[in-house]
Amino acid sequence: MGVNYTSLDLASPLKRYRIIDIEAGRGLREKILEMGMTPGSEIRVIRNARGHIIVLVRGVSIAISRGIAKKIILETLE
Amino acid sequence: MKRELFEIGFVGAPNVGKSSLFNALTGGSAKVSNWPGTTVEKKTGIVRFDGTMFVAVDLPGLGGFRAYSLDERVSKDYILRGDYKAVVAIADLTSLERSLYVAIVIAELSPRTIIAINKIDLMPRDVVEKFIEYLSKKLHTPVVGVSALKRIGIEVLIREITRMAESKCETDFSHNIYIDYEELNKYIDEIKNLLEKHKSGKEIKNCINLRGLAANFMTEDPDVERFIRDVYGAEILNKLIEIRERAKVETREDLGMRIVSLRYGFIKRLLEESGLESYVEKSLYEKTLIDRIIEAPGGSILIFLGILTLIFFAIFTINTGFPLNVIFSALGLEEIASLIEAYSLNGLISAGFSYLSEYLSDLMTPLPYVIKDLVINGIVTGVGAVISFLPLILLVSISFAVLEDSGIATRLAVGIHRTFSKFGFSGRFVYPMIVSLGCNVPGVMLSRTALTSRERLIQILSTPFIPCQARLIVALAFSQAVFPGRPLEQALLIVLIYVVGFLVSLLSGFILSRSMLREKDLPELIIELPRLHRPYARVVWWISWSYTREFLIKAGLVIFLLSIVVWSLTSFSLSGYIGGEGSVSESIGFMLGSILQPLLSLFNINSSTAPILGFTLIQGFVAKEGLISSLAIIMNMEDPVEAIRSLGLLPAQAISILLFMMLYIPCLATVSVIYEETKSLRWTLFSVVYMIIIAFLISYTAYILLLSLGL
Repeated sequence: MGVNYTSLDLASPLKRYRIIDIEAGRGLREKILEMGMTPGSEIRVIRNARGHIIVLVRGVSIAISRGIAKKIILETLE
Repeated sequence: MKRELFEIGFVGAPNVGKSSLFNALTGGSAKVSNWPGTTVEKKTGIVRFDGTMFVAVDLPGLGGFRAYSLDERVSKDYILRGDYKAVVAIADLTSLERSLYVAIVIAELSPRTIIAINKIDLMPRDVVEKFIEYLSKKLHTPVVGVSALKRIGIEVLIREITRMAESKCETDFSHNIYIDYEELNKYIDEIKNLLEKHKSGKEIKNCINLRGLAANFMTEDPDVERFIRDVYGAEILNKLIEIRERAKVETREDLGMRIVSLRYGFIKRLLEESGLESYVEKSLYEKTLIDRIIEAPGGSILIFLGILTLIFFAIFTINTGFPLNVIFSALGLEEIASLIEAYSLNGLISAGFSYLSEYLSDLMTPLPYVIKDLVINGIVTGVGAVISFLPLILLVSISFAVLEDSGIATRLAVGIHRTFSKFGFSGRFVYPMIVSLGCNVPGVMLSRTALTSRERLIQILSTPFIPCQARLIVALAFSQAVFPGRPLEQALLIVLIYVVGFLVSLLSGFILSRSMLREKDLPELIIELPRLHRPYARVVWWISWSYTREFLIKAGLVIFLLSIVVWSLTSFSLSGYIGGEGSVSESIGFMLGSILQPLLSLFNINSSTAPILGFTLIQGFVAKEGLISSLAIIMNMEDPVEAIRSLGLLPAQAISILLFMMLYIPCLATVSVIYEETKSLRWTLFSVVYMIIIAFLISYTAYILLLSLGL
């Protein structure tokens, strides 16, 4: 079993990830997608703080609160 | 001859420098109004250049085309239905992949799009020029490189706008931007052809590119569906939905997700082929000192408290000259100390106005007394009240603008989000909290940054508990009256007032969110972080001046007009004018004041003092500083501190009445803004009643407590 899935709230700054799916409801899901977090794109976790996660996607850093981060499903690379 | 000016819309992703470009073009002379039927701010400005003149419209920032917030929907609606000659879609050279997404979505929809790439001063000129040329050719769209801050490329942009405005709307879109939607192409073309066949003529006004419209229809965008129904009718819409459903079944794709992915793929390839070295700033990965502090446990709260304390001290110094006067008097320089006290910024202003009053009074000697009275005690006092607020409003706006432009404010909002969400606020509530220390009016207006309308309502209802400058003036007078010659106790009372104000505001969020929201709707946050940088003086000035001016227009007018109303209430009895020699206790205002007697009797305030306090409470509704100025007028004393003292209140009574005064009602200027922002008479009324109830509960509890302590 090489494939390893996790949600963004559990992601670590040390690993590389690829976005698999956005499990948010309509509206919010489109917002996340249009911010550049489309399935297949790479995402880097810069910080995983207590209240929020900061990620780097397509050259932009985005702060995401835990509730929303839970809905972003990732695949661990390597 | 009055020529009809044409309109140009300015739109872009967050943090691309849209407002800076807008200000560079209009010279910061924007007019602020609301978009029809909404409370979303509409900024327009006139651009004059070399014989050209047009109206620039600053559209709310757009994260994509699937509008999430009310603000975004306004921009979207403008692109689809607005009456413009061109749209300038702004992208950012330092985050091209993301910001081009928004620009390209707009260019795909409207052939009247000009893409402006901002911040070109950060890369070598020849590299930028080559890239712009490449982009323009690939996108079949005019692309202009600009730097709003260094004012580069502004002329070229205006020329491009003029050229676009003069050109005719083409109906052949084959030369337009083309994004390859791969397996979805055939469905999109089918939709496009159907729309073309049924051309109603209406859509040609803004010359919407039908292929772009078809692609957005495929994302199941309800706003686009509504637009198609309005223009083509329900029958066509149903046919299109059939095609879309077929596409879903045949491709087994999530269409919206697929289309966004393909667009980003298109941009990625575009950038890779351009040969432009991707510009990624190190600061994106490196933690700055500010990041470290904000992320340390409790760090963001400490920074927030630090900012609040700094602003609090600035307010204090402006109003009292403290601590400079104390320092000088400790050094034995009593004269300088009293000078500073008299000539604190507010001291200077009030000295100026009393000089003006005297001057006018001499000038108007031949006029009837009632007119003289109106001018001096009504109009001059009113203007004075507005002006005395200006230095502080400007100061708070500048501090806010520095935080905002540098990117610290966004990080602070993110850092504090976890703490605030427990109270039902998102981290964004830090903005209104900071600004409200100066005045609640811009604080309430800042609720616009909230993500949802409920979160926004909670912010609007909780903001007016934050003590503003006017309330500080009242608290200062009371603290001196209650604890004469005891500076420590005075300071403690002031701090208590502020702590109570902030706690009640947070608690109010807690109560309202628990009663209005379900658990799963607790505020969340997803926000693009701007790069941290040293604030630009020009941008800081633009931001702070726009707030200050909005305050002047909104609050200034209300305060000014109401000062005249108050003058009338105190100068007339039911039988006529009583100013001059008559006593205030016969006035209409005083009669109104005695209505509050039953409430005040709960605090054991005797029947001779109660109407006086009742009257001041009514005055305080108009403007909070009226709480003490009216007391001084009734007691016929110059010094408000003496006036409070001569009421003969017990410390427990004075402190609890003060608490009541701090919380009991938003001032009328705030009430009018609450109405402006909610557009609901019910919620405005609720806000007033809600505050009275909370103020009563807290002050009465405090009274009982203080009495038991023997005060």
